[in-house]
Amino acid sequence: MDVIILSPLENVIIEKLAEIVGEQFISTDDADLVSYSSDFMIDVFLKPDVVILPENTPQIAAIVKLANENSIAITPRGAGTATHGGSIAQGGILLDLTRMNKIKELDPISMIATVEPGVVYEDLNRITGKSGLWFPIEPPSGAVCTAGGMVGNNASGLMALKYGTTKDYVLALEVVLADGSIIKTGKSVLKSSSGYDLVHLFVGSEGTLGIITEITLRLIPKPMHLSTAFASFPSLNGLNDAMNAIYEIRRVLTPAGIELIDLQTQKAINEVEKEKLVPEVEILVIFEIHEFSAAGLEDQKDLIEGVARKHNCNEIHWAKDDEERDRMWKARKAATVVSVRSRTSTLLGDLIVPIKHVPAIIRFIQEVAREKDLLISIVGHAADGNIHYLIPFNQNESKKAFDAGDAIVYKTIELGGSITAEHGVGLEKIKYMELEHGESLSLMRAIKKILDPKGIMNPGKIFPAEKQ
Amino acid sequence: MSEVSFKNLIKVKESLDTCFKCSLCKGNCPVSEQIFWATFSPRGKMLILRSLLRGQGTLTDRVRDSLYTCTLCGNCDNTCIAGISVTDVLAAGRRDLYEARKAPESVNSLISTIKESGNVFDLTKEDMDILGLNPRMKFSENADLLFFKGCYATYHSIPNESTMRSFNLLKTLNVDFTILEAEECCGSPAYLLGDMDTTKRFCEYNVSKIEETGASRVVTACPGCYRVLKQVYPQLVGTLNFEVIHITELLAEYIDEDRLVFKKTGNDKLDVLYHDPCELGRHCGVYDAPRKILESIPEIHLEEFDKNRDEAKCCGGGGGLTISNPNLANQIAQLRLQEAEEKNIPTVVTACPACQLNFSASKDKYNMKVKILDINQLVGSVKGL
Amino acid sequence: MNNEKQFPNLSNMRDRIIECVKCAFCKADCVISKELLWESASPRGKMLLLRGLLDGFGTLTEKTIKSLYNCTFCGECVKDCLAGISLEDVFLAIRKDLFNLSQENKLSESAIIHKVDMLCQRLQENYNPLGNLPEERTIWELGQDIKLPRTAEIVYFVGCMPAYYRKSARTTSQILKALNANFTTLGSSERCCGSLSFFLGDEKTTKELAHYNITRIKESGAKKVVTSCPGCFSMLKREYPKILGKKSEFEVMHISELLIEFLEKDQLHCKSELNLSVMYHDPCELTHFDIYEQPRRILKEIPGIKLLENSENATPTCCGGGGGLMSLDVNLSTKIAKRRLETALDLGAEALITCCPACIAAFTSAAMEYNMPIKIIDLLDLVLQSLENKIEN
Repeated sequence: MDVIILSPLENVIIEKLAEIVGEQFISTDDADLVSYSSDFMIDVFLKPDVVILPENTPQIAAIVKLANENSIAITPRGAGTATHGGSIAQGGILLDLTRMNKIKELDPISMIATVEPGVVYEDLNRITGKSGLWFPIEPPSGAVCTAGGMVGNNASGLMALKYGTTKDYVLALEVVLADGSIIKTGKSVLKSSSGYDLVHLFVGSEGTLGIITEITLRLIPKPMHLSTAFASFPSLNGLNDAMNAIYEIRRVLTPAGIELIDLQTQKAINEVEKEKLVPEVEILVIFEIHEFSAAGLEDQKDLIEGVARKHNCNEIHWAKDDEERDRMWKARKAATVVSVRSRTSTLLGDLIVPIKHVPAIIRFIQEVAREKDLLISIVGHAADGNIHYLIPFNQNESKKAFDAGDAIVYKTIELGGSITAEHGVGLEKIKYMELEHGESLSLMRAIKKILDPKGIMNPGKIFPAEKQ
Repeated sequence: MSEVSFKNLIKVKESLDTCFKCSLCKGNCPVSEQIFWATFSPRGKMLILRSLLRGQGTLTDRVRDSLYTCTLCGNCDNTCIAGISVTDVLAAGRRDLYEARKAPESVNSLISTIKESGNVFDLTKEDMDILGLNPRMKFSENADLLFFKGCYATYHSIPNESTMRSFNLLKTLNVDFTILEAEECCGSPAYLLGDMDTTKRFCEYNVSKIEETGASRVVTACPGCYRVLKQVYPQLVGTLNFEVIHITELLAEYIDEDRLVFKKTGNDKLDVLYHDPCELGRHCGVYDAPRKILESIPEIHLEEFDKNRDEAKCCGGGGGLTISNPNLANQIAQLRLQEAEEKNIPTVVTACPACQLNFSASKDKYNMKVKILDINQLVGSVKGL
Repeated sequence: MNNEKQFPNLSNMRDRIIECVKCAFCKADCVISKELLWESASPRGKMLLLRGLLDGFGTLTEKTIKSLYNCTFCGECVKDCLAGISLEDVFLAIRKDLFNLSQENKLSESAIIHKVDMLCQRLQENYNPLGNLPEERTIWELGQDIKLPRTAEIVYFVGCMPAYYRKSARTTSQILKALNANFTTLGSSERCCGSLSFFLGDEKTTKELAHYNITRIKESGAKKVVTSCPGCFSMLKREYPKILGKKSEFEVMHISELLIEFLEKDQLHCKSELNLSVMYHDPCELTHFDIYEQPRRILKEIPGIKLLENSENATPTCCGGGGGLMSLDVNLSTKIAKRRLETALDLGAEALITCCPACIAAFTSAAMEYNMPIKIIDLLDLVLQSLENKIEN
């Protein structure tokens, strides 16, 4: 493969870009370059050459065409709430898609919505909710993250166990390809056996294959009866108890979500939030259940409680009302950051293993923490095998922290898992791509080459640099 | 040519014929100082009206524009060596235009506003409540003196609550007075813009309401109201059963009778310039009363504009100019205020809420440092009272 | 490059800035982010800009400065912050630094800084941010028939907007009169509470005003200070003790709290002929003191008022006028107000009720500018109306 050389942005190009979107929506001001220089958690700061807020697909097509002709890098971005640096760019054009925030069509009969990529997740659900419909991913960043970003990273959330991930809801896409042409792939139908599934090629491609400019989503009815419980597993063997309970429950029913929080994280939550949001026990499990009837909800509760108690759960507390439910989820959401406070950097992991290996990988992480003398907190979507670990560190501990991260990833691969379940690869997990994908990475490269021969689409992400 | 009957203009035909076009009127005209086109000078207006009356002219938009670009300040009348009242001629022309529905749209819309709401600012009593601009005090029921509030002094906040200040001032002086609960516009704007029907309607309404109270004296703080009540009402409904005075005349009376004495307060001396409102001064001849008040305040040192009393320049806000051409109105005000700045006298006192409003607007627009005070505002704030 | 010397206040916040995990949750309820799509306008964007300024990665362009002043200090971002950072403190710190730099003529080419300077200067000259004459501070007393004693139990701290715009001062004093409260004011010797200079980072002016007003209040001998303006309330209650470094010798209350006292003593009886569906708007500076229930309780006392609440009321949204934004960028603040009014209209409200003169000004101009069919009513007006009905009956 040729070595890709991208060009710096010349003023004349910037003027042409300004003609496309209007002076008001293009900026090379340092204020904007800095503002778009980073995203969630990652400790990398890169400035693009120019930031553009396009309004519609033709504008994007014109921008991409111009960029392709002049070999200029283009990095698309939604709300910038991913954690891997996929939406930041060293030079080139940064395309902020949040201005394209229209819901183009809501068809409550077919239960399908067609949206622009900048639509905010919760805004979409506010509108679909009026028809009783729901796009059920529930990412913790739902109040800000965009549909385009979710598709680009194949995001998921706290309810993935029952409802799956973003890819399960994407029916069709409109994409601007690297040469500026516009394609539509997929139909507003629930099934299709017609040829290659290009829709799912673009889902999770992190902007490296094209710019997604329109998304057609499948919606489902929103369940009316919800409940949430904290289940405490206090024994030193709490992890095994909890997982055994989860395995048994999963064989008979599918709760919306099952979350697991370790003792260290529970303590941090209570300390930081200055109220006792969570009990402090060896392992805390959160059960979220959704049903369409109150009776069904009660049945689920009974079943879960019975099984949990069988496995040494000493207390299971169901939320009395919505307010208490909100408090419970507030605690879970806080878990992401409580342990990283007052540290300069954090390494955030997003591994996933077959669920039978959950206890093994958690034990391994705890082992690494002890060995390297690091505080590693663990929260996870336990029931689907997706475990997040957070390693906060100060500058002088960085080698130690990255070594720990590497060790955990190697173990994950060894257990048959994947390096990222829902966050994406971006910049930060490139180094593990070869390890996870082996030969099939070459096929991915080949696909990229066909769609983006000049390599202008979000360069430097997903793929490791090729060895000469 | 025309769909306009000129039945008013024909009454002043003699004046139009007498004008020998010397153009001296231009010398003191505030509009001519700003607009170089002869079309807009008093002489230009006379020529236009003469040609219209003789059927030689065409009523173009520019013609209408010219006739409504005038503050009716009356300086031209004073200057005219032929002794013509130019403003009377112009008023007649405006009436003919208005009656033929040829007045500019801004004029028509203001008049319909006044007709509907009973005031210039299109505010109801409820609106005034919302703005917090209604008084909360008790008024006498059968007083001999009635205070006529007026729109500018009451409804607009820039003249700084002139009406409320008058109330407080009268109460301080223990004057027993009443007001009209449902007072309507005096009719002055309609009069100046040429709508005599509306003027008459307001006149009849207010006169009957005032007469119901049995008051024998009507005092007002607004020279516009003052002139219409004093000069125009009798023309419309005959001799009135009550006397009309301006608040400065009332205060001067109290000073003469030693019922209003300003004591020394030891405050710093304040140099002020008094600006004669056209309708109070030139049109009604009240020059001395406001000066007497100012001179009797120990801390105040009264200075005069170069052009004062019957030669005083207009503030620019008269004759409906703030409606037909607000920018021009502000420019005229700026010129007057500049003199105060040049004289280094930081305070201009006037006795007219409309002057105060237009001066203030101009001051803000051109970022000038002069302070504009209404005379009742000044008197009310004197601590030695 | 290290800029800590240039930004001493910001440098003290370095840890807060580094703690930002850039999650962007702050964006969700930020009224500025809803109007301006640029990331630089969002709280997260500002945090990145500040981080850039501290470590030399970013430069202080005019747009950077503008962004730092595009904030109403409503506090929503603080509630949403995953990392628990008090962003307001950070944003205030940089404003202090920028103000101090401007005093050394270091930012003379910035139009925004120039405006900030001008506003603070106007405040220093006239003791009010509106540019009105200090001796006219008592203009609201005209036509009111209220006799204010020299000393009294309660001092009504009028505040600039209520005093010069008159309405709020008149209503409040008439309510206090109708309730036979033993109250007075500081008259024309009252000065601005310093809220604007506080938010614009002018510590010196704020401090002078605080000392001055505290002295006047002390001289009055009052044990209780009541405000009708939440901005004054916040300054007197929270900032003055901080500035003076000691607890106040008097109690500070918002009028809505005082009315609850009267209500509980069964001295506030509301009668009304009104039949109105309303939404209550929480002024940000009252929510910072957890004053949510008091105004609602008063509203519920007024017969005929139907109080509509929506789920979003739980997270109050700003009128757009706070933090000096109304003075610095009135277009932006009016757009924010418009969005809030749209919420009220969607809810089916005929009127929006609030009890903050700044919110009322912002909403009134938005309703006028965008021609929106909704009334903006001061809670205090409703109270006064019903009190007066009672007196007449």
